[in-house]
Amino acid sequence: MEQFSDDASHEVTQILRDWSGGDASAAERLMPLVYDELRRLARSYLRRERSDHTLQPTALVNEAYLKLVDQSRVSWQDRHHFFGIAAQMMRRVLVDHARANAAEKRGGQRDKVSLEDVDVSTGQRAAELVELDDALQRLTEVFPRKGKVVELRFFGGFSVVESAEILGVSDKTIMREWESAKLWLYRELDEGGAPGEGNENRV
Amino acid sequence: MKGTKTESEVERLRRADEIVQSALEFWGDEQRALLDEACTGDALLRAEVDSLLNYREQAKDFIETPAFVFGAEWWADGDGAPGKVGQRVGAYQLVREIGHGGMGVVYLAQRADGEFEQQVALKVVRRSFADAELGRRFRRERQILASLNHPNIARLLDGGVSAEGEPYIVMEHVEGVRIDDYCNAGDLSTTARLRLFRGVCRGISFAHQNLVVHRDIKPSNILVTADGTPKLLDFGIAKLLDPTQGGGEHTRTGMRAFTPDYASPEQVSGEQITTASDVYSLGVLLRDLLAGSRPSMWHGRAGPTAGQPRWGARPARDHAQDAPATTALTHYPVAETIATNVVRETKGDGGRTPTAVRKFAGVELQNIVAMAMHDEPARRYASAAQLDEDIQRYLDGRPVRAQKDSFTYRAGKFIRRNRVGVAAAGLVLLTLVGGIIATVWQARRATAERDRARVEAAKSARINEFLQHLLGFSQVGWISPNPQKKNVSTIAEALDEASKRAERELADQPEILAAVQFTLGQSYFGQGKVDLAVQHLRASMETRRRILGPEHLDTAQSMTALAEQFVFQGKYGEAETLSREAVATYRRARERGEVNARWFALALNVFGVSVGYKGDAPASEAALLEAVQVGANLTGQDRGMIAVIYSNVGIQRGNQGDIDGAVDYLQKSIEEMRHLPDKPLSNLAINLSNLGSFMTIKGEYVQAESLLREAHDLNLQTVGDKHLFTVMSLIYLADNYCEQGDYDRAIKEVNRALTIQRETLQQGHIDFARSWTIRGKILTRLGYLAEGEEQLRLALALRQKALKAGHTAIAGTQGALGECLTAQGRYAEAEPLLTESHKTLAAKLGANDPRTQKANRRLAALHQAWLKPAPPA
Repeated sequence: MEQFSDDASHEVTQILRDWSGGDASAAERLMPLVYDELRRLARSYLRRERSDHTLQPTALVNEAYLKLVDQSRVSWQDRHHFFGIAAQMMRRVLVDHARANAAEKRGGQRDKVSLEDVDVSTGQRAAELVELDDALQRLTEVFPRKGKVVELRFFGGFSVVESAEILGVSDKTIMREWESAKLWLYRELDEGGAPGEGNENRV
Repeated sequence: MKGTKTESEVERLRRADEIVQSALEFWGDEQRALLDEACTGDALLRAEVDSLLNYREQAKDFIETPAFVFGAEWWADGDGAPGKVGQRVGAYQLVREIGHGGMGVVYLAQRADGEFEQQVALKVVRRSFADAELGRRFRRERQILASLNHPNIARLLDGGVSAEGEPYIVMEHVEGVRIDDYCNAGDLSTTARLRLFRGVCRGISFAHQNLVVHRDIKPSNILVTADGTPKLLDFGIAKLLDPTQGGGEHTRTGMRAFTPDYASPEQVSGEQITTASDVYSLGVLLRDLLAGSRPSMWHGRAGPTAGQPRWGARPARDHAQDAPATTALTHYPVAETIATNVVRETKGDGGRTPTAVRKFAGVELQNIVAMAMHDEPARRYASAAQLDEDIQRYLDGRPVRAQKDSFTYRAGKFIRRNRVGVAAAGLVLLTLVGGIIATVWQARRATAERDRARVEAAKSARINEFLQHLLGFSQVGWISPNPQKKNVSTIAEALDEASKRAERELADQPEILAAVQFTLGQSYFGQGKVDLAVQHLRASMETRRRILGPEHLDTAQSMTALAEQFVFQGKYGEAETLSREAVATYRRARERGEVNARWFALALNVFGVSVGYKGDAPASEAALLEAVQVGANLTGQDRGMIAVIYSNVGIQRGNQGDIDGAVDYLQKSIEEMRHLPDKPLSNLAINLSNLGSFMTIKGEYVQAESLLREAHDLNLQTVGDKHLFTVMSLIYLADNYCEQGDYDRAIKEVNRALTIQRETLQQGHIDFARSWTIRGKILTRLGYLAEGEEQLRLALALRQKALKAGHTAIAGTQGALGECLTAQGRYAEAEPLLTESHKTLAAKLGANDPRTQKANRRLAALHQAWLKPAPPA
């Protein structure tokens, strides 16, 4: 898209091609670029600065893709790489924001939940997201693919079919991994999770 | 979980995961069997697997909504406007910050010019929300908004654009507590929550009458004041802030401001917003208030993804037949919580309200929520006022509107996953017929109450004296609507004694003897002893015919009562003949000006049921509807008769393929019963039972199962384990389990039913055909084909003997037998059976009835199997 610099587009496109060409560092180089773009887009979407927002994360990711990648130069596989990274970065964007939000609430106004505190749920949601992120971390240690699936579905907003394409597995595999990951994560949160930084957010 | 794990721990987790993944494809016994096998000898592994699968229901909607959607609030929130306290905005001085939300910051303010003392709430709109058109829109709307003068609405007072160019809105300042906090902090009862909610509905309804849609109804926009009045804030603000609101345009996309949890599907997808969107949000609010807590971010119907199937991106409307009618309550915990709350709260009435009724109340509330939250705007309540009315109805104990569509909502994934490929039509029809039988008895109950009073005073006194003397009761137990099990032996013995002595001691007073025999006959039936009931009623009828003449109303009464017993014995021809004669007598009596509405209606009911049982649906329905007319003015406990007839009409409707009509009438019947001075628990059980059987037909197995279980429990409590109603509910349950694919439980229940039938029914009783059909069907499914066939052939022979050719019950058994033969590869034998079955059902029930469709699937399965090369012999 024209409003974004051709340099960035060129850079991301090149990184994707490097990646397909076997460059192991490509993912690392790609992350900050995608992170910045997604954060920028998320903010603009959510502050309603745009009239056409749809509140769907896939729209965000797609828009980032259109902006950052020269589609005439990338392959089908590059695209999947990009989306995989994008989901991961959406996770970071949201969780970073949630951590900041949770910390802010904890630092001050949240202790006294006054009747006028219109948005009590905000801090709680932020804390929950942080907890979920921690639990997802633990899940990924044992079940890396489940972690990926959750990242794509929950943070990236990808459908089962899309997730299956991105990971190169069958729909059925995604469904099974997803369903079992949900059980696993739900249990983690229900049981309070591991003692760790995430837990401190629970006042 | 610990941070580091040993290798064997990790190994176990992986193994557990594999098992969990396979187990997720199964439920119930099948799943247990799989787990037993997979985890044999490894208790730790089993514990890990179980602890995951335990969360299956709870985790159903967990993280199904993308995280981003939940983040929406924070982003807007994080960079709030700098504090403006002390500053002046327009004519107002900002006193302190009250709160901030997505749209801006709200201040407590007062007039800076001291013109009024009144404190107001002043909202400074975040600049990103404002646009050049705001001022113009505001001027256009403010007239309307300011006219919204209603006790449940916080008034809009003023507004404009500040010196800094920020738009602001001034509203009545409401001191109060968020409605959800108010409910939870005060631990309000469901009733109190509903009353509060009605206030919200009234406010919304008032605004809708003034053509204002709120568009952002949510708990944080509703405060409850110290005197308990709910007040809606921010009315019309959402629209005001919507830049797409050009003058006179028809498109109203409300993308600007809404709260995902509370927004309707059309709001989320940017379609036209109408009052129906508010009705939807009211539904969400009601759900959350009733469930008792705000759902966590991970749960509940989740904003923008609502209406989407869980495994894909297509919206539900693209393939409506796969998706539940509404997503409102597919989340089990919420629905269950509502029901549980209601059940818990009504427990304090000393146990007078039976569990079934309490649960039903919970179901009604769920239905109300589901209707308000229907995905299709057109199928929601037409207005907030209608929703309000329905809640009033619920609170008054009257029937709620929100039922017709409600039974489709809970089936959800569970049922789709467990549906058996081919389901049988047979049993279901039988159960309906059983329902008719059962409901005749309901009439009996309602009328028995009045029998004492009807006999002339002198006779009555004599009879009662005689019976009471004999039985040693002051209150004659058999007339009680809820006979106590524990008295059964006493009453039975007393009846036998009474019977003997009546013949001996009243031989010289035949009219009184006939009356006593009549009463005894009914009492025997109350004990479930149909044969003895027939014996006494027949004696009563013959005596009366002899001494009073065939035209006497007492004779007609005995005739009617006897006809009813014949129905229970499965002797429909005799029942029809007698009741036809009784009806004719009552008709002639009416012409003479002698009206006995109660018995006339009962005779018509018995006649309608008899001919219905023989398969003449139009004649049956005509008689039943006439019975409703005849009994229209009955009052008090006699209304029970109307309840019964409604129930029978419902069943008749179902027999003609109109299942929704059936459900309607059954619910009317249940409502009538609820309002009887003495709540007839057994009757309620029967209605629940019948409703359950319709739900089974509709494929709503979960709903059906819970209705049927309730019915069975209620039957056990009221009539005991040997009664034919109890047996009936067992058979319904067996059918339900069979349809769910739970054959172990199905066969267990049907065997129990058969054991009792063998003890209590005469050989060759038509009810056996019902149990045999279901048993044969289960055996077939379990692969015991020869045994299944034998059972089904017995059932078919019995039905063909007892019923008119072309009866749907026969078609049902033919279908099951055809399925059994197909499974044996005996296609040529199966085909004529399945063809005839389908033909009969299509003619009687119509092509769209689920039973016809099942028959069709069976036929299709046969043809498919037949086309394949024959299996090697």
